[in-house]
Amino acid sequence: MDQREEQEFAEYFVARREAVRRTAYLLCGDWHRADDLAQTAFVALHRRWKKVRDKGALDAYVRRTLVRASIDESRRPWRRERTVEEFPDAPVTDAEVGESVATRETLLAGLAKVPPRQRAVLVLRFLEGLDVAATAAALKCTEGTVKSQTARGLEALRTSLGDALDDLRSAS
Amino acid sequence: MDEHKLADLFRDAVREAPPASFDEQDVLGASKLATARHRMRVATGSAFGVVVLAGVAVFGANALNPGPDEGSLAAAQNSSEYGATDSGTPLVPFTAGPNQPMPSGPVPPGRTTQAPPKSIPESTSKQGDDDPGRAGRPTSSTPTGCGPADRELAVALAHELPAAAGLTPTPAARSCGPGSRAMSVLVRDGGVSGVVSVILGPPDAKIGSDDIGTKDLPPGSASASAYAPSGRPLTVVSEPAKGSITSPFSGRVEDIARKLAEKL
Repeated sequence: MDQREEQEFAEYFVARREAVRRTAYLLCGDWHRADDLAQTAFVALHRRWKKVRDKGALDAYVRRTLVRASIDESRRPWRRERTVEEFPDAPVTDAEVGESVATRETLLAGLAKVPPRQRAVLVLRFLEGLDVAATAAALKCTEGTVKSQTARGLEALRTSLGDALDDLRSAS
Repeated sequence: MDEHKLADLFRDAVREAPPASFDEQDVLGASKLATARHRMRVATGSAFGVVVLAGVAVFGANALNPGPDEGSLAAAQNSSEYGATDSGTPLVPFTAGPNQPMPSGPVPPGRTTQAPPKSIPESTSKQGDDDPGRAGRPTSSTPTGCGPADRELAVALAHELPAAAGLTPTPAARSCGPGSRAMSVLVRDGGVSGVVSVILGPPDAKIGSDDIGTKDLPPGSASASAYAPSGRPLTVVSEPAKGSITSPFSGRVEDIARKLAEKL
């Protein structure tokens, strides 16, 4: 890449790094792994920067790369996700810990039990704020698939959380 | 709960993010490293492909164009594996016998030091013909000098002897003087078969001499001679087939000789 393209990438990187890290964190539930996923997505974007003609589609490309990397990561034997009866790190809800922290931990634990594909749809829709069409474009699937994955993901999240978060009972 | 409250829950979960563990330089370095690895894989794959293609090409060229020695040796080995030829002749090992001394000294390129095996059969004709060069009769102990088959005599004989029409004339296996013209044809007279020869002797030959084709006639043969208008003696000989004493058209040789002599 020439100097101008390097400058464009640097500006995009600075503007989007934190957002990509947060999305990656909700996808995997760990900040270290989230940084690895985010870096993987930015490296892939840097290698294809000259081939991406539509600069308006950069976000979609990064999201797609991030989701694929997260799903691939979850399929690796040493990172394969396993369902357990009890959370390894159960949220401590005593008086010294704020209620927001407990809610966050509960949500992350519930998301960890949602299948990766459905989890990606939930994150893109409720964290990134994408509508059904944008989510379908980011994941390169149909809108019907996004709708069904959203419904199943919310159901799985409710099942895994139980009564921990009452607010999710009526969400759809 | 609506989607906005769920979105707020998601945003609250990632509100307190630790500092990033990578920066732009890390991304650029990883990108260059990945690009270099990709190019290395492509180069390695291309080199491997070229080596495989070259190997296939060399192997194919050797398989399609075997050397002369390799081909004959392979054929001999294949024949030895089956143990016998098509005619049932058993094969012997591809070694020189006691009566075939091994050649000594340097061997010219392209040749082996082993003598050809006796067990390899000669190629047989698939057309059912006889040995090439044989005119239907054994030529051993037969004087030559009659020359090639004379087509003019063959046409004249076919005119007088319809049984000889359409048959292939062959050189006469008789004793002929220098300058003679002759031909023979294998004919069948009912159940009797034999060879009818026509010899036009040299101009200075006389009937009764040995150089007009009447020398050493086999038993049962019939011959007749007559002078042509040119003065050359014309002789018609009818010889029986091998193992028989009856010659074909033996009663007509005089008439045929006379009529042919008139034309020639």
